[in-house]
Amino acid sequence: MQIVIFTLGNEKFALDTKLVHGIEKMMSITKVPNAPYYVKGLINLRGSIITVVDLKTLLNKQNKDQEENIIIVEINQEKIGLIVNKVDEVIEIENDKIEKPVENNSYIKGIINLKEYIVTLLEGEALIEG
Amino acid sequence: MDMSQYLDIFLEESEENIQRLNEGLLSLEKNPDDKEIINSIFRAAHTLKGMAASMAFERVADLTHKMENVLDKIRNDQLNVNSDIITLLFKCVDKLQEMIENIREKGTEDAEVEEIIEALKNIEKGKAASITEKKVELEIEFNEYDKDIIKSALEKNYNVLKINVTIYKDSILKSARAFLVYKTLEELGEIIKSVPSIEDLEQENFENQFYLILITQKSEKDIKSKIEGISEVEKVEVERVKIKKDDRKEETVEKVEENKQKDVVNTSEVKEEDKNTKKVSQSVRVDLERLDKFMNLVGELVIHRTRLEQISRDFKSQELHETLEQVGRITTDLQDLVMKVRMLPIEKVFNRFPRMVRDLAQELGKEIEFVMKGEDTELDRTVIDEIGEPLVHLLRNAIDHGIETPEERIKQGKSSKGTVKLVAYQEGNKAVIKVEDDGRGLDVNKIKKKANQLGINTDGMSEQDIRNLIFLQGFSTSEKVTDISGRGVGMDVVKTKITSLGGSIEVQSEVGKGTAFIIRLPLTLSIIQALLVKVSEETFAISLGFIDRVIKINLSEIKISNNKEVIIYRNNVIPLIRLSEKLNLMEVELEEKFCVIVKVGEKTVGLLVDSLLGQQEIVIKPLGKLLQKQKEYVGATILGDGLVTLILDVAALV
Amino acid sequence: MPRVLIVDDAAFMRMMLKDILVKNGYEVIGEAPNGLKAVEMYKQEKPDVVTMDITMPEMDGIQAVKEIRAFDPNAKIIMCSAMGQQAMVMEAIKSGAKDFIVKPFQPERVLEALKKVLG
Repeated sequence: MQIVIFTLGNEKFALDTKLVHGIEKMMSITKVPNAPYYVKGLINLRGSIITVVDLKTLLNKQNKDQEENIIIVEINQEKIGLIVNKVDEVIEIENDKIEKPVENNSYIKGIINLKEYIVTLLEGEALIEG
Repeated sequence: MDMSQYLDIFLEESEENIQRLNEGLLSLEKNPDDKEIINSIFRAAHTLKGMAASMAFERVADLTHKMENVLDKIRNDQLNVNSDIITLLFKCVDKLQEMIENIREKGTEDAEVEEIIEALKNIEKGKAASITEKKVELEIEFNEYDKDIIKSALEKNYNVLKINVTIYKDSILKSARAFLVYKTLEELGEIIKSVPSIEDLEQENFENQFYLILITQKSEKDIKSKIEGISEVEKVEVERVKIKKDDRKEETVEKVEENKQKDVVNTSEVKEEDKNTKKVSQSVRVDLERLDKFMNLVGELVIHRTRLEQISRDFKSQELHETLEQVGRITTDLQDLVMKVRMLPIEKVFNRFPRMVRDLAQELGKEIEFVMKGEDTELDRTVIDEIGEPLVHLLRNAIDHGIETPEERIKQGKSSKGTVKLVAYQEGNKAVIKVEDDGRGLDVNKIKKKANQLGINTDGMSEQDIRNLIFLQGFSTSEKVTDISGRGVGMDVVKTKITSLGGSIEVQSEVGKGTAFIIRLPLTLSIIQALLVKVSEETFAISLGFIDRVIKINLSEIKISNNKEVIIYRNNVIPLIRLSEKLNLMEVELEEKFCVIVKVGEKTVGLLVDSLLGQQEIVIKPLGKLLQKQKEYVGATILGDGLVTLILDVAALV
Repeated sequence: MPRVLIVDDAAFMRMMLKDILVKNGYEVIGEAPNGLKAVEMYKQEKPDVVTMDITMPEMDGIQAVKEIRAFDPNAKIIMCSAMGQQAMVMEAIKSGAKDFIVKPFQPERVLEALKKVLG
């Protein structure tokens, strides 16, 4: 499968590219008062209004690094933006390279051990529904 | 074949036909002898059957088929319409509705139809002569008369051919298929005999094979190829007929002429049918999603026009300004057009009411004349989708609480039959819907009593103010809780719904004369005029539809009453809502702020904002699923500068 | 490519038929929702063959067959019928319909009828 690898704090995460619609540079986000804690706000993506999720808050990760990118994913027919520090690369991996996660967490699909680092493969649907 | 792609249109057209069935049955009940009505019911059932069978929804197909049988008996005067039959047919329609709903939700019909089909069968059998199966012997026996004809034909050098036709075993409408063969052969010569008889062929008393004897000048080959040119014909055998001299068996002569006569009688209604010249306007079906996309694009255009206008002001170029004005006019036209495209006649909502009113009236023992007007009034489809429920509630109330029992009415000197009117019309840029009854009216004293019980002080309230109390939560004046309107949904629910659609509702009533509820709704929802305000660091849009006026206030003018902040404006005490507080934003220290006075239904509230940014036309875009729970907003919009701005749902905030 | 005119009051039925026809090398030159429109379109388009529903508003299929045949005695019309419409199909045949197909449509039956009618 093809995955897109990105950085969140000092960890690497990945998503199936099938979910990914595009990668955007950080842009101005309109706050939504009283929204769930992980919703960062709304962006204007070429005329469409898209909800942006603060991925680090959602995954409960501490991180003060600069956030450069918004990954636009499509989950349940709705586009959603995920804020990440930086998108690194898109790679092709064999399915058998995906190891079962140590943590039993519904939004973690598996662990991929690449030479340079370990990547946590996220489950898109679970992220948003859970 | 993959049928799923047709599901949407199937569901949509099924609904239409179910509606037609309902309407038809209602009129049939009033005019049981009107053949045109029966025909229109028949057509609806028939169309439904065809579609359902194609989608392999067998229970729907089966039920409609059995309904057709009964309807057919009615139109052939073999069955008289009575209330039992009407009620049963209504039950069928309900069953169909249920199955269609199930298909929509679960993808399967998922309903028991056996019982209802059994009932239909019983009704059908009530008068119908049972058709006995006749065993047919496929052997040609010529009588004297036949033989004479054959002999003389042969003498004149005609061919006498025995044509053995086999049609597909699973052919449907075998009689018609046989008739098609018959008709084709008849054009090529003279058919003197058929086995089985014409009657049996007509009544499908044959398997899939029959013989015809044809006297013709054509060759065997010609005949064969002609019959083979008919679909679903499996096999054709043609052979010459020879006559043995000693063959002398008796048989009745087939009266072909007479049978033709019968056909004409059988089908004469066909000509009567479909004479109603209901106007069918030229139209195309458009996928709703495409329409929404179109709407969005026009929305974009409006945004960019606004943006251009801003830029143009900075440049102060006359030429640019003029061109932009032109663009402005065109966008406005385009916008009007796309909004009109989204509009649907309220008929779509209204048309289920006659049936509902009938059932309710029957259940409650009331006599009701139900009058609908202005079904062609158009509203945005969002409104159409939402307005049904409140109207159902109002109509139920009118029938249950409004209209008196026939005895009571007569005692009051009224006619025993009450009238409930449902009227829609357009008034400026609002659509008005009125639900009116000539029943007992709202009793102000009763409402007062109830209000006092609930701890509401009615001193100094006008009669109208008191009537308006019925819109409060937990308010119901009905003495007894009936099955119909006493299910805990009150007028407050109706009001909330209408308010959330940007509309308003008012009540007019006179004791003994009746009650009228007047609903006013915006014609369209997607593009609105809005006031942009600033609260703390954020910008919000508020629909002008709610705004009564905007005043500048000094914070010292804010008073406390009943532990709540209020302002006094023109001698009215208006509760104040600090938006910063409601939205958990930083309070900005300013001496002077603005108070946007909004009216939601009968409620007037002041919204405190930091500053005003101006008035603008905005396009409402819905929020995503993650924000569905945020009742504070109706949606968001993109402003001229490209920034996203939230639109406040005033009705939910106050 | 044989040119076909589809007549049926249900858009759903028209879609289904059209789908079958187009996938099998027919050209659907028009669709009419009632007999009146069908007659009008026939006169304009002169299709090779017409598929004609029977029960329709405005003008039923049988009347439409009559009017089309009056205009063009060689018109090739295939009736689209449902179970239980035997008598009407016969009436249509009398009026000059060349063949008929029965709903629910089975693609192979539809194609057979068209092929045979077009000879």
